[in-house]
Amino acid sequence: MKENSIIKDTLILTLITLVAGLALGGVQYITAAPIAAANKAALEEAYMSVFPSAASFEDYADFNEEEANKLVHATEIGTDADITAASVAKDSSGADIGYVFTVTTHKGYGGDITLTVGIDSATNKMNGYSITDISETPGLGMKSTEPKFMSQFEGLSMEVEKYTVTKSSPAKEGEIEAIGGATITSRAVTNAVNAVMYYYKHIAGLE
Amino acid sequence: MREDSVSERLYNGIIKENPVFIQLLGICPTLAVTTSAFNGLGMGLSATVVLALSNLLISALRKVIPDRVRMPAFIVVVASFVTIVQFLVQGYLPELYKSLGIFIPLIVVNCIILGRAESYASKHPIIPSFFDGIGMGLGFTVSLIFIGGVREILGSGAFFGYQILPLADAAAGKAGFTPISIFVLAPGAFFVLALLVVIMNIVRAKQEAKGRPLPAKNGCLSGECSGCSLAATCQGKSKAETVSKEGGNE
Amino acid sequence: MTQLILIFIAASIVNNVLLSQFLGLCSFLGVSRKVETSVGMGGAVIFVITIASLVAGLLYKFVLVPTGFEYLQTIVFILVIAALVQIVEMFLKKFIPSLYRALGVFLPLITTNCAVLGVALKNVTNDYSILQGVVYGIGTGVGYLIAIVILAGIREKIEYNDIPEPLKGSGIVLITSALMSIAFFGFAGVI
Repeated sequence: MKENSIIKDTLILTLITLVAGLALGGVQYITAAPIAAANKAALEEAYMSVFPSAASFEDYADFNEEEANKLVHATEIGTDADITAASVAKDSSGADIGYVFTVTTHKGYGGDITLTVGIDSATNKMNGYSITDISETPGLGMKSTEPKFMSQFEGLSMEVEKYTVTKSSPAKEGEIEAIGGATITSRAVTNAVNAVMYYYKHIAGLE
Repeated sequence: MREDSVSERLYNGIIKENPVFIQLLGICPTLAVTTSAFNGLGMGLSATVVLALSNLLISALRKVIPDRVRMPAFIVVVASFVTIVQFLVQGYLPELYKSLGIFIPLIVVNCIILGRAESYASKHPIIPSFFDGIGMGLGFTVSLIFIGGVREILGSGAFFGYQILPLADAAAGKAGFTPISIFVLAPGAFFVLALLVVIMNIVRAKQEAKGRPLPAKNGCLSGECSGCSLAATCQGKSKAETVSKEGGNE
Repeated sequence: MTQLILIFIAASIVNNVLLSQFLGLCSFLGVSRKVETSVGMGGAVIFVITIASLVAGLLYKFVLVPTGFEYLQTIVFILVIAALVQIVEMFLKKFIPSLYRALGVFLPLITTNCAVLGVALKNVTNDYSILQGVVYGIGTGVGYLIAIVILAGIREKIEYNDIPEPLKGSGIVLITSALMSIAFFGFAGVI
């Protein structure tokens, strides 16, 4: 009797689990497309914000994550940031007009910060960056997502070897004014940008 | 109001037995996602959908589910609805998904949901159970918006993303509100909840003095585990279940 | 190796599971009355999280991913954790009674401790390997132990203090947690 009821209980539970699994499969099937679309749209938006003049983006075919990071980390600019993706920006006629890189720095105050950086290859200047993933302190490090700090990176020249953070107003080229009270975040973002710049100069043959 | 009627259930969930204010349940998400009123709203509504649907299904299946394997069965039902809600939010509200993150799947272990399944839905018919879920869920939502709102106003001077307190700008010499950032950080969550608990304790004492005591707290904060989701495991009934759960999972 | 140490420190101190991530608060506030019981609870959490992150990680990598059933992760993880807690409880009772006496009463509380499920899910979202996942799990457990023991120590001290009536009980505990949480901010940025 007891054996029977255990079997019955198990059967019912198995049945419930099976039905639940099937239902989930169905929902997953239905929502897979919107989820993929939402992810893609978010990425496109991040790319667009750092390269508004581009019409479309294509993966940069020669990008090799491992090699790129080995190269960047070995330099004397002293960055630990990892470049995780690279895309070529194209205008409406399909000609290459620049690059968009995704880079993650591990030196943020609250952990990793991931940003996309756009560089125009006609002028060799930076369009700016856009942060896609951040967990910095609100009111301090989070100010790295606000125009006041971000605008310093717009139109940065590639001719400077690396940018450094200063706590006062920038006196000479190559200096970025830190966010008040959030020097660590400012440094992290600047370092990530330096890594991208170095890699860009490498692939564009500007060294 | 008639016992177990639709309106009674809604009133019960939102006011009389409000899961956060009165019962102090579901503390983890209450603190973690309430950095803004909007996040509170999103979390609250996600939980409401899960609560209503799982209450509905569990009530419908209450005669079918054997008593001994009811906990794993409830968990399966709740986890399925949670996953469904997760996919929907991820697909159609990606911004919200990004800010709630891991706390959507963690609705599974929210004390309120398994607690209602165990204490209400498994013993009552479908309609009241469904509205019990909606009532409890809305009660949860209201509390989250309240806590999120307080934290957002103090921490960034905004409410639902709209700047309601003009910010001070030292550089421009403009006087105004300087955000108290600590309120959107982790400690602020504890402070706001502490404040809430203190207010509720005062209300409670007043009501008791008037001879109309509020329902007892049964959440984790009162030191009892009876409110936590697997209530039964804390109440000495655990042994029977221990065995049945094994049978069920293998 | 350095990376594993960093994961451990980040999980245990910098992003403390209780004070900055709010996972597992139920037991944090409920079982922190005495240092002795809080040590037991902390021990049980380390034990279960470690095993759970190993088993969940193995299942995810070798069963769910190859079969394309990743979307079942929440349901699978919670069932695995529930079953695991029961198995661990029975195993300890039968073979290591001394450990069972120390941890036994806390084990049922852990099934729905969101820290356990949280770690299993985070290991997936963070793309951790099995080893990294286990280290992350141990780190989280150790962080839990540190926080709950400190809170219990403070609660033992303030037990006989003159606390205003409405603050008694959970009110003062929450304020204590808030102050601890501020203190733990000092660790942010160390790695």
